[in-house]
Amino acid sequence: MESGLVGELGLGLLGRRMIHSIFALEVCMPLDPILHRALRGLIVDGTEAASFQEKWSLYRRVADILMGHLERVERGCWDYFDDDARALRDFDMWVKGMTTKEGARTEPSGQADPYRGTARYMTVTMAFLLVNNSPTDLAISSLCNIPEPDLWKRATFARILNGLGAVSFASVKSDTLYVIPGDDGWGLTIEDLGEPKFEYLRNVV
Amino acid sequence: MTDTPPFKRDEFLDEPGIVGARWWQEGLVHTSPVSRRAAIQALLVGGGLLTFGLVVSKSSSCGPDKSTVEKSSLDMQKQYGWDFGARGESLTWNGAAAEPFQPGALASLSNDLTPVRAELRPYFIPTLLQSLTMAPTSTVEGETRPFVPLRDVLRPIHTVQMDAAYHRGKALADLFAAISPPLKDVAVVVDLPGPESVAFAAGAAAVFDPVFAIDNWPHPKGVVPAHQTLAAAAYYQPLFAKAAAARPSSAPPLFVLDRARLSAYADDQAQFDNRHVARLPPADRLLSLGVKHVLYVAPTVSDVPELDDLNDDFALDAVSGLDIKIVGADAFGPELKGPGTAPTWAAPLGSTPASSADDPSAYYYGWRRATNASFWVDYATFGGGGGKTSAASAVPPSNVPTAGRDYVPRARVSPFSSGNPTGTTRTLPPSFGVVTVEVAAATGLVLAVLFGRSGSWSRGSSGSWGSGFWGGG
Repeated sequence: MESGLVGELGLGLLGRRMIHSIFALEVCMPLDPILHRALRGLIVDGTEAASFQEKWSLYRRVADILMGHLERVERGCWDYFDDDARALRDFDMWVKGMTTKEGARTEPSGQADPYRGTARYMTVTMAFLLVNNSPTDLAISSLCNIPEPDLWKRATFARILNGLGAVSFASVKSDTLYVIPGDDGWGLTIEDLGEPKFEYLRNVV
Repeated sequence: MTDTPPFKRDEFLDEPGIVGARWWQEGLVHTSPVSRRAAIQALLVGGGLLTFGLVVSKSSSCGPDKSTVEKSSLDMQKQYGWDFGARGESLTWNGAAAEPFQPGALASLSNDLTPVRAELRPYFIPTLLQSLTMAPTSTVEGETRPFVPLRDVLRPIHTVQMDAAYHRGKALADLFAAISPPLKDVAVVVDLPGPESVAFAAGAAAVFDPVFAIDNWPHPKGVVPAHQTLAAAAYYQPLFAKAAAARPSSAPPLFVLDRARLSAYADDQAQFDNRHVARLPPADRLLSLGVKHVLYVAPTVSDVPELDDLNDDFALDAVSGLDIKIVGADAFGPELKGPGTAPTWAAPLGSTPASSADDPSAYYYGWRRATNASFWVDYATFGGGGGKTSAASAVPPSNVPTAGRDYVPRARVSPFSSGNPTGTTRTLPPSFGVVTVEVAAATGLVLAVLFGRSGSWSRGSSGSWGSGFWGGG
């Protein structure tokens, strides 16, 4: 039993087979066109290749923007798992959330009436496939060591977003960042958010 | 030394619905940044290794693989079938009709019961009627039994209670039919146990345009026996279709509710909570339909006021100038013979009236032919006292208890009413019309159904509805 565990970890740590962790975070808030434009710009204006520093700056900027609007976040969720199989599976799931456009609307919802209409919502999602047990992984693990009653508190989201500055992208194998909607006339409606596919989003308190 | 950036963007979307990207650091595959030194140390230091091993699978996450949540019972039935969680269990029919029945006709039940007046159709809630033909779009994990559509198991019912309610509805309709010119500014709301509401509507269908407003589906373990209501509708389907063809195009509306909708829910794992609340047009819509008077038909003359879920509506209706009155269905009965006999006001609705009338199917207000026209005296605000009925002239008093005709709605606090209605939100008690299910966290798909909501499954807060109940228009 012990030799099996030693063998698996040893292989991983010696680089023959990489072990992964995953960190992901998603927030949902009323669609603010200015905020939306800023976040969208960070994605579409990016280059096809990026250095570690550019990646760090990108997510630092995203985190700063979200921190500035954290009071408006109504729902959200975050994940951290250091089980390799789960990390790979969940990262793939988060990426598919973008590539399959699962959460996106298929038709416009129209601009929300700022005075009387029902709100439109946007989601911002990020996920990192981390090298397990790397300094960044350990830092994220520590950051995400949150007591159960506090998991979905706004203060917890603030702690995590603030802590993303500890990420060294040298320890990130892959990452994804996406915003729903792409066009602010395609914002999510409250009915959209009531669909089972958004069940995972928790009320942020 | 190369300056090639380590991250390559291999996915990029810029579409109206979503914008996003994924980057890969390919070079990391074979060059773990975890140092070989650290790895060797981990292998050499047994204690450290054990500690490391223990942290594997630690998680702080959006949730476990599965979670227990409350879902709208109706939504679950629409997705997984009318018999959600009770596949293969049979419905119990009380009073199966002996008459010949053509199951194929059920396909047109919803159509046959659609209001004739186009302006009433926005308030027609065909939910119950549509349950006959709806097929599930998903399957509960592990369910292998085949789905049987409700139309394949439904059987019409016909009971003595329905018969009595039918005659009562006809008696009310006959009173209105005798008025010339016809009263067009009255709406009737029938709030009897489902099968009897349907029967009352059938009896009145020659004069009133029935508007079904029953917003639930039957279920083998349902708190509300909605299948009985549906079976009663199936029984009267030919009559409704015939009456619709012959009825004047300006017939006033008669809203059909199921009084069992708020049935007490025993916290019992054997029950499925298919309760619902009544949805009637708000005051401004009634007024736009030309309605000035609302007659609420309760089971007995003692059933005053209206059920709790109608209180907000009625209180607002009254503020808007609508005249709201209540009549007990048992105010109508067959001719009583002999002096000293009295209507059994307190008798349960549907109990066979103890009458020796020549025509037991002819029902009268006050249970006497002589007092029938006194309906227009008791409900004088409806304006039916004029015209050829001459009801305002001397007619014997009905002796029907006065609580219903003297009724004026007052806002009150209840699990279904706020005591201070605004018309924008409506109050619901906790865990009303919901079912507890176990869902996969990742997909939201239902893994298991838990009928009961005891213990920690209950949710403590009240829900509410937003405004815009009827949408635009």
